Amino acid sequence: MKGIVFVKLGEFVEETWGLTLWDELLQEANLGSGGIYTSVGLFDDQEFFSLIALIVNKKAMTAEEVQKKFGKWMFKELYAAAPPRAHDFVDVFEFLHGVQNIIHVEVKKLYPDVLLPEFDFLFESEKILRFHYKSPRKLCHFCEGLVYGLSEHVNQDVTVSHVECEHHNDDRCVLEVTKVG
Amino acid sequence: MDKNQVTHVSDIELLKRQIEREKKARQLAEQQLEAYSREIYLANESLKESLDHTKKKQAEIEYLTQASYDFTSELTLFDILKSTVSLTGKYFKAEYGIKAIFNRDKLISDAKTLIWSSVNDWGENPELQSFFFKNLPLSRLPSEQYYAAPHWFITKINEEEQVYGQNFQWLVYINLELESNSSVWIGFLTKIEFLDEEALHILEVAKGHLLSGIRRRLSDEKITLRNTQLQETAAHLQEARKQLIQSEKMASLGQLAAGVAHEINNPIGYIRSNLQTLDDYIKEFKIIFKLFEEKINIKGSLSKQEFIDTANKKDLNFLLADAELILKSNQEGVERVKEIVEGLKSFSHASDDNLNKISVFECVDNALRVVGNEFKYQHQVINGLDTTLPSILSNYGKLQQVFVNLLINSAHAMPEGGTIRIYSELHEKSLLIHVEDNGIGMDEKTRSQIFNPFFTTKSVGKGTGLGLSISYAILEKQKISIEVKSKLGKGTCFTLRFPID
Repeated sequence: MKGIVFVKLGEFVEETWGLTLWDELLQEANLGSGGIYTSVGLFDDQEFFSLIALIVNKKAMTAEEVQKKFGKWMFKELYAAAPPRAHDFVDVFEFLHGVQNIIHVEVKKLYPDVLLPEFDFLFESEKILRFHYKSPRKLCHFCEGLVYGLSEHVNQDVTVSHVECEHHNDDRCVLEVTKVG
Repeated sequence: MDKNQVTHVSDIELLKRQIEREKKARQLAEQQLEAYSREIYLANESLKESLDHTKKKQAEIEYLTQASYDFTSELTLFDILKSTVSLTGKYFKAEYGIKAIFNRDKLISDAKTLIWSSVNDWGENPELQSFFFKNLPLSRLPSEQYYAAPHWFITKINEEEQVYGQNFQWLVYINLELESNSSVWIGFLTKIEFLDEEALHILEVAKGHLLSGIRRRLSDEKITLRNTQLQETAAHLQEARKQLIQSEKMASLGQLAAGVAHEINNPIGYIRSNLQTLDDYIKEFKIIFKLFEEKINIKGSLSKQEFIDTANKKDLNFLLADAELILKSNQEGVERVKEIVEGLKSFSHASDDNLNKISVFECVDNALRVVGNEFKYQHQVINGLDTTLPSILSNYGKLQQVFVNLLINSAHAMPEGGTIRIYSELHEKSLLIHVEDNGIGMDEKTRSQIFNPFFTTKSVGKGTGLGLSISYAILEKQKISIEVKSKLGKGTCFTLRFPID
């Protein structure tokens, strides 16, 4: 997993619960990297899940909640780093289409070896967009958080539901985004 | 220690740990950066390398393409060799090149196109010429026992061998066989210290192309030579054909000779007997004048009555009138002979092939005069042509020959007599002349062969078997078509179609 995720997780934890918690997490997690993260480095996926599990323990939240919270926080960070064209979108659905066609294309140029999730759009109407979230990391809840972050950014209320979810014995993850109001 | 102090201490510890992590992260990031730089540098190097490689490949392709283009072009062998040397010299980055053609051990290249220079192109350069000749293994010549060098040879130039004070490193050369006893040496001098093995390989490929180019050019030259020979043969044949036509004409003239002689003899015969009669008449006139003279001498004058009596007694009026008739008949006879001779003359004359505007009526009329005696009293000739027909473009003598052939054939086809009709049919773009007889006719098999040379149905000595084939050739050349319709026992009709304006 790209170091940027760990660096941002650190910032997220520090901003949300304070530096002390982040320090605790790193000390307790017994990480291969020793918690020394750089945004350009590559780190073991498992470290990410270990850190999330520790937060779950310490803050009495579910893993889904933590991922969702982190995802929502993460949106503005990713948005700031996204290519200029990604800033033109004013609609949640348009932006979600753009993720695949524009943002991920640019990311691949900078990091050819990066592993990115893919979206297969299954259904779209004025109010509803349903897509298949494809990633071996199965971070569908993190993705859900990102969509909420996006919704807040463009000031468009949405709800996200996991129509199908690999964490609930389904074969795949399908997210449905519904515009509210 | 109060609680605040504890917190303070643990805060400091926390921050220390944090700083330590950040420091290490920075080191990690810097190492990563260095690794990236190295990667970029290596990628750049490999890009440069592949650019160089691509440029080299491009030069190779350009060189080979241009060389192949020359080999397949219409350039002469000499120009191909010239172009090969300059192209190869440029590609190989040689300073000088040589192209020396030898016939046995004799140099036949012009000094001006012997030495190529990367700066001055082709020009005379005696100093380099002798340098090349000294270093090329020319002693292998003469070429009787010599085999063309199978590949490029490379010789290192030693310091003491240098010319011009230049620092030549290598002499690269090859020898190719051109045709028997002649070969070409191609060589290059280069200052490049290390020869590129791949470039040598490319030269080898180009050599293959050059060799096949040379072979192709040589076989082209052979084909051209063969072509010239064929053209000469064709010209000989054309001449022979001309002579054959003339011979056939003379042969048919020979066959006609007896008839023609008879034709001429006829008027000559009566002219002769007429002259005899005139001779007798003149004797009579002399006697009458004598009688008049005597009467005048005796009496001094001649009365009208005496003149009339004497004249009547001697039939003078009859003699005068008859003499006039005889003279007229003789004039006609001479005219007839003259016409026959003229017909013969135009027929036997070996005319050129020029086409002129001629009267087909006149031509047929002349032909009829030549063959006149072939037709016996039981033959009737109806010439339906007249002077109003449009003129046609043809060769008078040749066309007359055709009509003579057709008329003789018609006469021979009617041994028991019959009618021969010559008539015309005028169309918008063509004039048709039919020569029709009601003779024995032909079956299909005969009809299909009549235009073949040496085909004849006539007895030995009566026909050459060439008449119609030659007529056909004559007409074909003048773009006049000939058709034949025939029915066994009914007769034959030949139709000539003349294009008109």
